[in-house]
Amino acid sequence: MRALALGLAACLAAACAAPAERPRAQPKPRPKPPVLSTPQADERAGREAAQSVEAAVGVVADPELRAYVQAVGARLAREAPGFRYDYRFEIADDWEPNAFALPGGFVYVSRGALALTASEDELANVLAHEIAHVASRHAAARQHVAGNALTAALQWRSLAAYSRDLESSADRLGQGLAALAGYDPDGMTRFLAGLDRIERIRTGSPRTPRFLDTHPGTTTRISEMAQRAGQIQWQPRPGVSAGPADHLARLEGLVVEGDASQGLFTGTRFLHPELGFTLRFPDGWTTQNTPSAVGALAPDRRMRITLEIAAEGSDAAAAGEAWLEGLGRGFGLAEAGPVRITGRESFRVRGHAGGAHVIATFLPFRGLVYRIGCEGSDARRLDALCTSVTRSLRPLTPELLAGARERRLHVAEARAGESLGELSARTGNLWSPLETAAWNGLDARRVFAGGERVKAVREGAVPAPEGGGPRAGN
Amino acid sequence: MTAARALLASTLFCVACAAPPDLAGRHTLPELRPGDSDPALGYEAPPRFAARELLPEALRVGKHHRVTDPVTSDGFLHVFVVASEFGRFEVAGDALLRQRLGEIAALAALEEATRVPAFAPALARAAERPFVARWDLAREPAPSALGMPEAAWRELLAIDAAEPAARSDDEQAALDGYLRFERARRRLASHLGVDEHARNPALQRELNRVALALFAGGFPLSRVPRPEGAPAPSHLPYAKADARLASLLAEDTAEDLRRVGRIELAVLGVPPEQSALALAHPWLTPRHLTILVASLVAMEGTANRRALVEAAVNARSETDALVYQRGAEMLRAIHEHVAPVARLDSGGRFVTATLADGRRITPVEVDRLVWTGALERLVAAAPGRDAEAFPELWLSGTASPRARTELAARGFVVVERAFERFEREPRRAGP
Repeated sequence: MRALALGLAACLAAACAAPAERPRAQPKPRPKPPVLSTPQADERAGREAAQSVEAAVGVVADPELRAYVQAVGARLAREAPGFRYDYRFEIADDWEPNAFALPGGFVYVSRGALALTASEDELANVLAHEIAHVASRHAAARQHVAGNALTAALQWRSLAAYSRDLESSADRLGQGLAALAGYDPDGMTRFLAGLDRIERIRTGSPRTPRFLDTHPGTTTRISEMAQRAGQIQWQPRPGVSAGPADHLARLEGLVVEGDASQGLFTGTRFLHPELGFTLRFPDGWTTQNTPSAVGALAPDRRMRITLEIAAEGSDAAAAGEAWLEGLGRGFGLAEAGPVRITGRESFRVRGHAGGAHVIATFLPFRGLVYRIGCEGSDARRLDALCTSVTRSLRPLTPELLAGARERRLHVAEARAGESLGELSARTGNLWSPLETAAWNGLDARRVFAGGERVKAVREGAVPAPEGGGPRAGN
Repeated sequence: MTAARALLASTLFCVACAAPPDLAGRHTLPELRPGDSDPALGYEAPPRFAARELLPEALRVGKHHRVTDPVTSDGFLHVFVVASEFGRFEVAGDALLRQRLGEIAALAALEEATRVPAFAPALARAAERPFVARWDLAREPAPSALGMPEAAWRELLAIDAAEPAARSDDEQAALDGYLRFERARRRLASHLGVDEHARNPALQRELNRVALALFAGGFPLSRVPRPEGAPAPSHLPYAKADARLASLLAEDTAEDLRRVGRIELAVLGVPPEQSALALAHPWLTPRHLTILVASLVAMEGTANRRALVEAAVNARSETDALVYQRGAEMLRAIHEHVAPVARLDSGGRFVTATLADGRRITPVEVDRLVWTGALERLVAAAPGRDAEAFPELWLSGTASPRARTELAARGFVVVERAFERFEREPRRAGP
């Protein structure tokens, strides 16, 4: 969950509280989405969508890493065909290996995709592929991106998906563009092979991850790209990095999986270092932290509790009433009014929707009003658990934060004769040998000659956020 | 003839003048040598026609032109002489004739637009706008598709190459102004039904003049009359059916087409030096090259596609450029309608497709093929019949009975009116 996602979370809160099956007023015909008729319109629509996507997903703030990605992107953009967009390159704060572009030159590579690259050539090919989508104005053929920025934000992971024809076109142009900029066009082949390996590790099958959704079959695609790379005549040029080792060195410390600064779980306890609070969900529940909300689902899936940001300020009653106003007629209001919780002036709404009991509690905390939404079929149990979770919201103490751990990428140097397992044991690598092999494009039985750079994962303490970390008190 | 018309006539169709003017509209491959059409040596004399035998009335005589008699032939293409109020000139090939007549009609329409009273004040207003004033473009509009003198173009490219943050306000205004001007030019060319990149200095000068008045002077496009009696262009089946190609041709500047062409050529495996030749070619316009490259790109899976580019850079005239463009379109059509093309091979200036089923097809752009020494040399150099298959010559036009007989005797199968055949046959499923 992110502090940035306030506006989006408010929208989501209303949407979440209105179960899909409840009766609604007859919807008005939806206006036809706007057509992206000009590159200038692309830029306007892209900027709007980028704001929503960045609010929902977040971007990695590391200035050196951003500058590196932007420098590689700028070098490619100089060779880009089509309208002279002012290309912008960012690292999407997500561990899912993914890359996507919005109309008008907004290009994103995810943290996971960046971690998967083994060289600048691979990174350049991923960015070039996305530039090709932008330059060819493929988003104009996929109206929902620009037509509804919120939809784009909610479905941002599917932004990598284009039709097969458009993907093939971007594959071709991307490889050509990378080659003209002095990058090895075979970098894309290696990157895609890496994606395929990761997916096989995760799922046990070659089901394709997001970046490949709707793309031609991975094996076919890799084969086509390798063949194409073989026929392209290109001249290598010195890169932004000094070589693959320097490229990997730039990835040192990259957060692996969830970014702790955006909240993390230890068991069913949720900690948010930036917002400075902690919350405990019932034991045994399945927890989930998304960019816009954090929540948990009961083992029998008949009850769920979510926490979202409802409003800025401290007026819980205003936030609750505003939320109520946004609800449709399908919500049956039982009671709504002020309530004092752990010494805070809060606001509680009780009702039912779609056959389920709903409790929404609006709780002020450090300049924000949170909505804790509880939904379930057993009213008494729901009430008890909801009260318990709501009362568990409290300031995050340095002691609690000290117990939290997060994972970061570490580039280790292999020793002569060392196996992957031995390297992991020596460096504290948390990836299994199979995972390490997949993320590094290595054979799991590899014995190192010595000096090879190997991506590994280490766990460490969560750094205190800038400004001194969790504050004591309220 | 007005002074303006005299000026037009003096430059008309000398084109970019990288080749002698008399070659500009001629088909230079293969060349007829002395004796090549001598019946005493066993060859056919290239036919002569009355224009009315070949052309419908509307094409033969228009408000601004007349195709004179006789129409001759170089053994491959018809050679027309067109008398017009803009001058008298020669052009080889039905396809190029249609293009030329369209350009004449467009020139007349542009000239009419410049006589509208609102035009001169609009051009005067345009002259004061930053982009126009920077290079004094309104005083003497450039006779090229760049829309400005070469030196100004280089300056603009340097601005374009700079990082946006590094450009001064004036430079950014110049760049923005150029893009708006270019868009107006493209709309104007589309309105007139001509190739905005045409190597026709007279047409380019007038397009530039009127486009300046349109983009910066408030002169409305509706005051530019539609050309009267302009013929529809000859077959460009894929420019219409290929959405990406249509979009590129309609929306991209010449520089954009050059950039995308450079990438596509690299992907096709064309060496950088050959690619540079193609992109700066005096006769292959961005339009020719874009259609040619798009055709090759569509032939996914075909080996050695660069062979066609290597052949096309030999174009020595505007006719040649059209021949290569249409040859590429025919190859694509064979790939999509007949059988997948497994490989392309260059045989001098011609390219032969080897199909997945083993057939070998050489597309040849002709209006009427007759048996000449040039044709005999061409087929002698081509690989003939072998145990596997008859080589096939697919003609855009027709062949004389004698030519068919001689070709058959040498093991060639002749297929006439190929484009019409493709239109009849459904597109096969993807490879």
